[in-house]
Amino acid sequence: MTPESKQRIRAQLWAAFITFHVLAVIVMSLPGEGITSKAQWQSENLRSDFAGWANALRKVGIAISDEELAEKARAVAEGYVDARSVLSAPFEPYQQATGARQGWAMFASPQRHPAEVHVDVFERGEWRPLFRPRSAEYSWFTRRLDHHRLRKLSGRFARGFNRGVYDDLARYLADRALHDFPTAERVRVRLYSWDALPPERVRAGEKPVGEYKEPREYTRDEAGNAQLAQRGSKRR
Amino acid sequence: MKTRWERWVRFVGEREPGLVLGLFRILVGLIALGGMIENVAYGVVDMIWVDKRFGGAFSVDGNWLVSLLGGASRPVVWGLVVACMLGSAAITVGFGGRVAIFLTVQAYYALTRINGNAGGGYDALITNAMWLLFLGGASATLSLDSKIKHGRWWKDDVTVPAIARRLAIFQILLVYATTGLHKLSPVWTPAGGYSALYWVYQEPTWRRFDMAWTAKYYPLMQVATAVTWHWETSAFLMFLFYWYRWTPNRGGFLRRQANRFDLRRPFLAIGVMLHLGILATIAVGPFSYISLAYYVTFLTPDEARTLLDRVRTRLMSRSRPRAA
Repeated sequence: MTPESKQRIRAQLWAAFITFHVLAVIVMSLPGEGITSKAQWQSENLRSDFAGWANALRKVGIAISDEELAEKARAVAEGYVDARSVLSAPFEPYQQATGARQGWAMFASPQRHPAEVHVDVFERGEWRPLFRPRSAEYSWFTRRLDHHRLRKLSGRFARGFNRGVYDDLARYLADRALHDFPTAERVRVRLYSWDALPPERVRAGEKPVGEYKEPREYTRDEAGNAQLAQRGSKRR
Repeated sequence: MKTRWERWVRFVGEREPGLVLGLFRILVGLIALGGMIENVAYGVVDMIWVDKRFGGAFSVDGNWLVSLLGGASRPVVWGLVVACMLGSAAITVGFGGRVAIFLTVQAYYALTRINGNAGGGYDALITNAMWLLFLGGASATLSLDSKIKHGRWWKDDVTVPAIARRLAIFQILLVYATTGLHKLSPVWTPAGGYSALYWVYQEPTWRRFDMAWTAKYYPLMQVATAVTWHWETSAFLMFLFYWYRWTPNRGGFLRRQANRFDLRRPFLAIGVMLHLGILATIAVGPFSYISLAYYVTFLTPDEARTLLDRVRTRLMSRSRPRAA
């Protein structure tokens, strides 16, 4: 084989590889199976989105209820995800091997029903706040919990509640709090959730009022570690 | 068909001076290194990446590399953190060629995929950038490798595959275009009164400080939302712009306009403003830094050279003593 033909083959292979890369990047950047996640479809945010679209459709004369629209969209999304998974299968190993991961659903549906993690300790017969996000007063563990990676993680509790991740975080925080406050008898981790207010109500001086969900209460076990004493999943 | 393929083979085989890819490499290395130092300094490494069986907070697994190393234990996680830091430093100074870049992308990807809930688009932008640096052999110039091989940090006549820089442009445009398409919520559109950014600022997850004041400037939020969404979706036009730029002789009104007016300037100017706005108001890690690093690749090597020469001339004229 002459050096020229070797070079020609190399150029063809390089072009074939780049074509594969471009196709991989395009296919993998299409919305993935996250769009059919049960938790997402049950979230208040997505329900608000469908209410918004159904309202817009009704304004132009298309009679459709919020639920009907959501049901139809879900059927389309499931069909689409099936097709996408067939299309993306050849590219998955490439993405895994090269780090060329795609998926760019950034602020796709801004959260209108946010939630944040609150931590309290029971000491000397009363509960007192330990951590509130962005609070200068209740700032225990704030350096970590305010880090963008943990903001991302806890922000997801409002988007599509993942019980396993929440329980892991609650137990970890309880362990640390019991360690940092030796006189504390109990630790409570809760999700404080509220509806963000539209601009006219904020301008009128109204403040959002929320409610606590998913309370987890911990006491010390014999080794001094956090032991789940009470778990609640209903709104309180 | 054959001619088209041959044109494609020629296009992806083109080479260009390695200056821009070298600059992109330095920025990507610095951002990855800075991000990793930040993770360590904030004490989140053990908490988010070490499996709870070994003292971390969460039940996590990891990709094939983490499994091969025995799971997300402290030594494995910290080994990957150190590998990322050393690798990012090597990428910044341009040492170790493609091998260093390849190992760093593997370590960075393995580490940040251990806990998918605690990562963001910035991780993917960083690993994508590193992979393109690997494909382009980005340590060829503006690097320690160049100093060792040629005795000079920067060698003008060293060329790299031009496709690496072009793929970086393609990647960032695809990010904007698809993120625009993902925004299916009515609040990004006229149907929802272009209210998205107002709602983003009411959410505590990302904002740096209380943003309730945005209610007073709601019309401004609507304008900003409209600009953001239309700008993102207009990224598709940039593909058309580049296509027209690369085929100037085919004729047509739009092609003539595209070749007369440099669409990159307004597109990138809006992008810079948007990312500065993000940096000032919301905490999304190194997302804006890494996005802006990709902007360097929009410069051709000639443009980058001219720009650097201009900066150098200005700096030299400032350092020269003034005449009495």
